[in-house]
Amino acid sequence: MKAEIESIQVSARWEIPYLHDMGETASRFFIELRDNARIMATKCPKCGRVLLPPRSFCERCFVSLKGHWVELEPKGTLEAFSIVTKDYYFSGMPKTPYVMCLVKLGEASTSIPQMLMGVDLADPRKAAQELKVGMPVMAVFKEQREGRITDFYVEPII
Amino acid sequence: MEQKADLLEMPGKWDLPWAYAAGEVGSKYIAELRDNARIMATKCPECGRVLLPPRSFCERCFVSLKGHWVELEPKGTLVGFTIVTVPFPEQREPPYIVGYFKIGGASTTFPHFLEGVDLTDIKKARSELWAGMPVKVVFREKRVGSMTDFYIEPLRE
Repeated sequence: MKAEIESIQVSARWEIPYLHDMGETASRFFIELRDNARIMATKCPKCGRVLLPPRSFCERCFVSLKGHWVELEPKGTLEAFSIVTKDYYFSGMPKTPYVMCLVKLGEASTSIPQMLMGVDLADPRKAAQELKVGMPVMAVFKEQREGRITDFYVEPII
Repeated sequence: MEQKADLLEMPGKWDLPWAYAAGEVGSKYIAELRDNARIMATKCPECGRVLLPPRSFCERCFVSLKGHWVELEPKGTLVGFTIVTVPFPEQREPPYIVGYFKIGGASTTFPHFLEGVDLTDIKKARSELWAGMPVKVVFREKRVGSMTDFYIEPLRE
């Protein structure tokens, strides 16, 4: 008879701290969030697309966008959303439930991921019924800002 | 005059917990450390090499080593070492010693911490360690099934 073999799992954890150089364009974007509570994008003079987060060049026209800044109105539309209810291990995320969304702000041609706040999540299924792709949202800046994308969040405009 | 742009650095952190299954041979090795405080290796019946950590097959002879267990004497020699004096992220406070050790009759070396060496004077500590010096394996009272269930110390007679 074969003896039962205990199967052992070895647990480990990699914690890897790093520093990311933001570069000229992204640095300005985050400084504007922090100091002036406004959302700045870059606009391609050739194709007219407004890129958020701002890029230093248009990847379609290969045109430099340095200096081609536009301020975006802190309003936009919900493009997509996901209500996160399960406590998967997502580093740096808040406690569930929360809503992650893609939002198109101002005259931007692109959407960015952002936290959607101000939604009653006591019943996530009900909340999912009440959120609509295309619904108007607004950007809300926090009082305390540190030059991070978390300096603002979006909320449905009621 | 052109103004130099303000440049930001964004600190980040990847925090990645993971686990792997140790398998039949690895599981027995770990269970023996934890339950019986002994170091078990596998021995190839063809070439006679003793492998630590134990492998399930000999990668030279392609022979299965399942069941070919040998217990190693908890003594050995220091093969190489480095005294770490600068901090590495998420590692223990320096100074500490990482060494390569040959334990019992093992044919292979493996890395571990060398404890029990006075590191107040690094240069002095370094002059007192040498490749080939005898060491012993010391098991901890509380063992959890991990490589750190034991550590290595110089063998002082």
